[in-house]
Amino acid sequence: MSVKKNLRYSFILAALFLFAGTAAAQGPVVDNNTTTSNLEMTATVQTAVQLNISTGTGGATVSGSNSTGLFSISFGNVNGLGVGNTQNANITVVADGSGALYKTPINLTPVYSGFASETADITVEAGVSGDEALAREGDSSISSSSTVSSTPATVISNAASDSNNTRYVGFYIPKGESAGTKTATLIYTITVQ
Amino acid sequence: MRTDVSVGWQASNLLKVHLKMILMSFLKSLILSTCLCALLLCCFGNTQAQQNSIGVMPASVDARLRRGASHTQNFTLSNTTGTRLRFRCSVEDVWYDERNTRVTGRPGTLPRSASEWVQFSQPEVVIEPYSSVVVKAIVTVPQTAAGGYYTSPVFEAMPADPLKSAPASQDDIATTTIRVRFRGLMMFTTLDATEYNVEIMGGHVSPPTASSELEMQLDVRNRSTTHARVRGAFAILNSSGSLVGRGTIEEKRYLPGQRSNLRAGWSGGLPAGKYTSVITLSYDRVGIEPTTLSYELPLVVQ
Repeated sequence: MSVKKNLRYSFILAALFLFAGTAAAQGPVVDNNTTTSNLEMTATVQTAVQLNISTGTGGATVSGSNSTGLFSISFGNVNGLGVGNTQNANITVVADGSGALYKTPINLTPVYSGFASETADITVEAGVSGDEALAREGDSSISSSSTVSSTPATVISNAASDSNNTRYVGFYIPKGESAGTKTATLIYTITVQ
Repeated sequence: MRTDVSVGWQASNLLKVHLKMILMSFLKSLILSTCLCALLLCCFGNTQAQQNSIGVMPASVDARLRRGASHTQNFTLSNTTGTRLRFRCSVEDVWYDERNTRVTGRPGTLPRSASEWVQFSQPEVVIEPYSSVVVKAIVTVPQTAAGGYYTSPVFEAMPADPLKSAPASQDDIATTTIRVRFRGLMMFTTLDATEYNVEIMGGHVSPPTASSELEMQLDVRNRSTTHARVRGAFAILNSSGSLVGRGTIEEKRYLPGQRSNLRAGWSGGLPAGKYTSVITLSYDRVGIEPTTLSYELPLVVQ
């Protein structure tokens, strides 16, 4: 019986909702079968900008957690000879006469909304972790000379929204570099022009 | 007979009980499946949300302000990462150099600076993972201000908590940390005491060829005391005055005193002959109706 009752109440409720919906859609009407109601909706579109940083195709994992910083890439154990294959997965090593470059791609994806005349550029500069002299940043032709300075350098001009921009980050370890943990910070700045 | 009636009554009761059980089981399954679907949708939503991104809204502000008044501008800072972030909020001057490249400077060092008008309600704010926070910028316009003023709000994101030190077994690990900084743009125009004067200093039209489209360049200067968003349209008329082509000129922003080329293209073909390009540019003015400029450029197609 209780099930029957519940079902009955459910049907009554559903019918009430249906009638309420129908009634709400109607305005006052006299001698007519139909009427219309106008709903005015307003919204202000604001400009917004967002930067996504993600693991590049075939690149080392870009992680974001409390233990690793905002975005972090661990290169593993590296050396100035580029030997031993001790670096982390998806880190490419290129050795030369003076040292070894460990590099990996990352994806920078700016996303904009509501821009009319404005565009955005992305620059890179060195942070202050202490080993920025070893850090390298560049496009696919990144090399031992792709150093990162404390003066911002434009890496992407008029970047299109939702475009995946592949950048390479890395460490160049000279043969004379002392052993120990190496940490470098790169600051990407997205600027509305 | 009594026994038969009793059996019949029991059978009827049994049928009812069975029906009730079936119905209850159906309702339970329905509730369970609904919950399962909701849970799956929720998990899917969370998976979708788990990308490393941070954002600022609005990135640019173009406001009309009364002299001597205060205005509050909200900025929403979003953190779609697994890291607890600290955002540092500050402002810096913004202007342009002789090559029309954006330059920045310390507050109060560049022309028409509004940096010293802006005060953030919180110079630093901590944002939990996958959440956002609204920061207020209070803008106080001096009574003596006239025209357009500019500043760049800067939001720098960094981990809020100290990083855990590397485990002993990973002493020689090399790590790159990436930080992100946003530089927005705030443009203010006073509601009165603003003068407008945008000029077309010259122009050039290159006729279309087999390999290139018609290209139009206009040398535009903004002599106004505030920025102007210049946009336009053009029509190409043949020697008898008939319309043979038309196009639009995309909007471009000019800061006070700024001079640069406005470019437009047209992909149609033109037979040899003499033509005239009629160009109209327009821009909005605070408190008064938009204005339009007209310009003509001759075009000869060989």
